[in-house]
Formats: sequence, structure tokens, C-alpha cells
Amino acid sequence: MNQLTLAIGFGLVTSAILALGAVGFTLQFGVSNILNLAYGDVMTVSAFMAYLVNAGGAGIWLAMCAGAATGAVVSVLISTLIFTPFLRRGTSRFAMVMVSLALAVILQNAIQAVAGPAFRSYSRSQGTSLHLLGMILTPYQLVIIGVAAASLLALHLLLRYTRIGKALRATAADAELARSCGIATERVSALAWAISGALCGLAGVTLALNLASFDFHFGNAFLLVIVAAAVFGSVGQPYGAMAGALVIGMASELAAIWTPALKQVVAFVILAVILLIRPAGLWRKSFVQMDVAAR
Amino acid sequence: MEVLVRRLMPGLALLAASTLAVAACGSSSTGGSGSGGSGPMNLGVIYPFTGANADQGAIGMAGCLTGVAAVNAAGGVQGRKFVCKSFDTKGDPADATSAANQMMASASPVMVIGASDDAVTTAPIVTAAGVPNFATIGDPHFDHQTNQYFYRITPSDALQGVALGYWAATHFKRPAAVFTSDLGAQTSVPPLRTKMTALGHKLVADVTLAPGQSSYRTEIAKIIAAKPDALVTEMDPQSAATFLSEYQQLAGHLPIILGTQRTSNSDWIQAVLGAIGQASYVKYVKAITPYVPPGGASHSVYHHWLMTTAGKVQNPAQYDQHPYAIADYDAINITALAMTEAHSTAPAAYNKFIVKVTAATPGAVQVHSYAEGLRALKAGKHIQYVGAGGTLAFNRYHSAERAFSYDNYDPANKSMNPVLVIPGSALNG
Repeated sequence: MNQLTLAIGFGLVTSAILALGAVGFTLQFGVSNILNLAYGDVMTVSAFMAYLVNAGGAGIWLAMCAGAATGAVVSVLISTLIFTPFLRRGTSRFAMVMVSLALAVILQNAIQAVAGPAFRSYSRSQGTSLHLLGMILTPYQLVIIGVAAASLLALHLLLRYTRIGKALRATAADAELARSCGIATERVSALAWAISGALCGLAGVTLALNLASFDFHFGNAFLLVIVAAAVFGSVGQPYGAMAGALVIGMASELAAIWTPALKQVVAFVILAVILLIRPAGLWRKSFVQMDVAAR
Repeated sequence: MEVLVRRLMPGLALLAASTLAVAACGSSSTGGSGSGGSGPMNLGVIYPFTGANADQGAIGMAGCLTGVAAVNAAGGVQGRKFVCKSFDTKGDPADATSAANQMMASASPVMVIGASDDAVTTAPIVTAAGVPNFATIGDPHFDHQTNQYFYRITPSDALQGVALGYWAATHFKRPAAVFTSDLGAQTSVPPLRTKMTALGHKLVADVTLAPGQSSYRTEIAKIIAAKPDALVTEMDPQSAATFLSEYQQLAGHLPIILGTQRTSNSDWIQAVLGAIGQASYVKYVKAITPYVPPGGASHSVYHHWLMTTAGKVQNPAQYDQHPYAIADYDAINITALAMTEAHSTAPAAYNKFIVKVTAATPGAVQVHSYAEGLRALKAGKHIQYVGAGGTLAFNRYHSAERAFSYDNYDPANKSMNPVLVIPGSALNG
């Protein structure tokens, strides 16, 4: 087996999962300017909902849809019932970070109280590993890559070619101006949270699938890497988050060939170097400056 | 704003005064209830009860409740019963310090069991108050500790590493070592390597993993290339589930997985069982753990009282052979016997009898439970407590020297059970 080719294949899977999470995270930030530290715990909630559906007899793909839907609903509820009231009171950005941190702690403990500390696993067959161009991937891993690619392509089409996408970008750029132009910014913002929440839910389920067993705090443990990918690609920039996920996912797996104990450290060193060279992140253009073909 | 503060001031002052009053009432000058008390005596159980290591708290409480049931059924000590009081370290040093301080201030325990890895921060607080602390921490830093109130009731990780090395060298041709980089796992690694070298063997792969990663496939591909017939390992449950599931997927099968005591914990078993399936678990997963005699008089008593905790402990049968739960149970019996022999429940008075009631002194009568020991002491005899975990010989550093065993998984009990005892000569050579 060629170690390098194998690592590239494994890196694609890691990057796919990371991309789902990072793009969702950066979308939320782009629309609301909130660094949502409860994001990882929403991933966990989604994964547990998918587990319940799977344990009830449904296949893993239906469970994945349930997870995405759960992520969307929970994210909209968080935005509407928690973040928006604080923002209306003029809460500072730093204080909002504390609010999201408090929410993360509450969510995690609530998940533990309801689900207990036990580990769970989805019920599915592994399938035979496939050898493709020197890489070894299972059918599930190929589907994870496919789901990530399809979701991100759909997001790209939405942002670039639809009126809703244009409204999303206008709201992110200047909510007041967008409102005065007749855009229902509250509805648009809720839609953004729903889309990002769905991506968050998908990320949670695909990560849980990849881990084989998961417990009540697995999503939170992955949050740092997600934020790193988002920051790498300029926070608020979905395409940057995709690029960041690819770089960090690949760098981790390639580093594991030589320094398994430090694989994540290598990825963060690369992040630090990029930020030294381009402090705004890799994708200098902001989310709102994309050209969109008018419909 | 000023008006608001003025309105709140009386309430804040009242709150502050109440807090001070509660703290003053809760604190005690010497720690423990003292020989002058008449009510129940608190035993502090300080472990993570929430967070990633919550399993440790469940194990500790199972041991405590079992020991307390046995002692109280025999009438308690000087007519006073034991009560278990739990305090949550959350598996974090800062929270552990806070929990230990709260425990000493509010519960005034006469003895403390725990913590595990957090004992580094909690033990100084407990022992500074002159309260005996029995801990299940394997960190080799405690191998030569000199605090007279501290007792380590499970073997050092250094000894665990030697036992792993011995078994790997004598039973496998191509063992590989795979440990996560956290301190709890790494303490066994240097003695493992040293023992392998001393026996003229070497590891075909020696890999340190970053814990909690989403994938280990690249690392696994490297290990598979070395063609190991066994993996000597210690990892947390999440990392183990991911690693072993991916290994099985990539290689088509698993080599023998030779784990440590960590492998015996229910959270590890649960996580890995779900990841690789029961058939693979039974076939491939083994462990080297502190030896617990599977039967005998002491274990029968332990088993009886363990089953009575069914209303308070979830699935008590899983702790029937668990070295840590048994160690905590034995610690409570030892404490009760030491108090009885000292004719005092004051920690300062009974502490020096802890080693005495477990030592094999000439003429000492072997006893296997608190009730049996109580009868012997009342008859004026010297005793040696032999617990459910076997003979508990504390060396001069108050560290228990115990044997190790090779364990298989028992699906009926969902626990690892000893199959063979590793001779002490193999570990000392």
C-alpha cells in the first residue's frame, strides 16, 4: 500500500465531514456575527436524533435526513429564542460569545441527563472496502464524500443563482439597508440558520458514523477543528471554509504518516502560518462580495 | 443602575452572610466526625461523576455503597453507621480542587476514596486535613510518596507496563504498541518497552496517537504494514472505538488487542462493542488487569453485598470482578476495622492501624469481611484483612502490591474476567 495515496483518500473523508461543519458554522457567523460555541453540541443533538430514528428500524440514510432536520430546527430555535433577544438588548459581541458558551454547557449537560453517558453506535453494515486509484474507501465513506459534495454544491447554487441567495447575502452585508429595500430580513436570517443548522446536523451524523461509537460530548470535542477550518478560509466565507476544511483535513492525514501524535498540531501550525501571511484568512473576499447572476 | 444596586444591596448582604454561616457550620477543625460524635459518619467519594470520565464515579460509588452495606449490616463502627457522600471532580483539575474543598468543608468525612487521575490535586487537600485518602491512581509519581494519610489501593501503572511487556514478549511473536498521548495512557509505556527489551524482544511498531481524532486510518495503514499479531494498547473509549473499527475495516480482521485496566471499564466495553461487534470483541479483546480472585470467602461476601445495591447501582453484576470497585469496597472494610482496633473513629487515631489490619503479622487471624474481623477483634485477636481483591499488602510508601491477571471478556456479565494469574516472579525479574 502506498502510504501517501492512502492518506490522501482518508484525508478526503475527513475533509468532507469537516467541510459540512465548517461551512455551516461560517454561514451562521456570516449572517449573525455570532461565534456560536454551541455548534458542536447541536451536532451531537442531531446525531442522537439520527440514532433514535436508526434504532427505531429506519435505515441510516433516513436517519441522516432526520439528523439534518433536527439540526435545522434546533438552530432556528436557538437563534430565535436565545440569540435574537440578547442582540435586541444590545449585548456586546464578547458577551454573546459567553451566551453561546453557556448554551453549550447547558446543552451538553442536558444531552447527558437525557441520553446518559453511554456510547451509542448506528446500526449498519460496513460493506466491502473499495480500491480506487490506490486509495481504500468503504461505500459509506464514498457516500459521506458524495453527501458533502452535493450539499455544498446545492449551497453554491442557492447563494449564486437564486433570489433567496441574493437576499441572504444582502442581509449579511447590511441588515438595515436590506430591510429598507423590502427584504424580510428576519425570515432570511431564520432561513440562514436553518440551512446552516441542516449542515451542522449532517456534519454531526457523518462524524458519528465515522467515529463508529459516540457519546454526549463528541460534537463539542470536534468544534475546535471546525472553527479552525472556518477561520482558515476567512470566517463568513463559505468557499473559504470549504478550502480550509480541505487543507486542514488533508494536512492532518498526511502528517499522521510521520507524526501521528501531532497530526492536529501540524494542521494548526499551517493555520497559524496562513494567518500570519493573510490575517483575514485565505479567502480575502467576504461572503457578501460575490457576484450573482440576477434571476 | 445606581437605584438597582441600592435595592439589591440588602439581599446581597443577606446572601453573603448566609454563605459565611453555612461554611462556618460545615467546616471542622480536624476533618472527620471525630470520636466524640454520635451520628452517621461520612465517607467522601470524590471522582468524576459527569463528563467524559463519569464511569469512574459510578465504579467508585458502587464500591462505596457495597462496603457501607457490609459494615452497617454488622452494626457499623461503635454503633455509628457509614454514609457515602459523592463529590464531582468533572475530570478537571480546577473542578477537582473545588470539589475537594467543598467535600472537606461540608461533609467532614472520616475517610475519602478517590480520586483517580485527579488525586494529584485532591489528595493534598484531603490529607492536609488529616483524613486518610484511599486512591485508585496508577501514576508512577505516587510510587514513592511519603504522606502518611495517603494509600494507593491499586498497583502502579509502572507495574502494569511491566506486566504488559511480560505477556506481550512471552505470548506473541510480533506485538505492536499503540497508546494515546495522554498522561494516563503513557505512564505504562516506558516500563513496557523496558520489559520487552529485558526479555530480548522488540515491538514491530510503536505508535503514539493523538486522542479523540475523527479518523486513524493513515496510522492504521502504517501499523498493518508491520504485520503485528497483537496490539498492546491503552486508549480512551472514543479513540479505541474509532481506531479498532477502522482497523477491522482496513485489515478485514483484528489482531489480539491486549489492553489494560482501562479495557475493563464499562464505558470502554460499551464503546468498542458497538464499534466492532460482540463476535470480534470476544475473540480479540483481552486485558492485563490487577488480579481479583474470582471466588473465595472474601469475594462471596463482596458479591452478596454488591447485589443488595441493585436499587442504587445500575447493573451491579458488571462490578463483580471489577478491580477498582473491589478496591474501594476493601478500603471501607479496612477503615472500619482500623477504627475498631483503634477504639476510635478519629482519623488521627485510627490512621496508624490501617497498615496493621492488613499486614501478615505472626499470629494474625485472616478475616474476609468486616463482620468476621469485628468478631475476631472483640475476642482479642490480631487480624489480617484479606479482601475481595486478595491480600492487600501496603509497602512503606503505602502502595498496594497486587498480582496481575490475563482477562477475557464474559458476554454474560459484560465484564472482563481473569483467566490466568501472572506470577509475581515474572514481574520482578
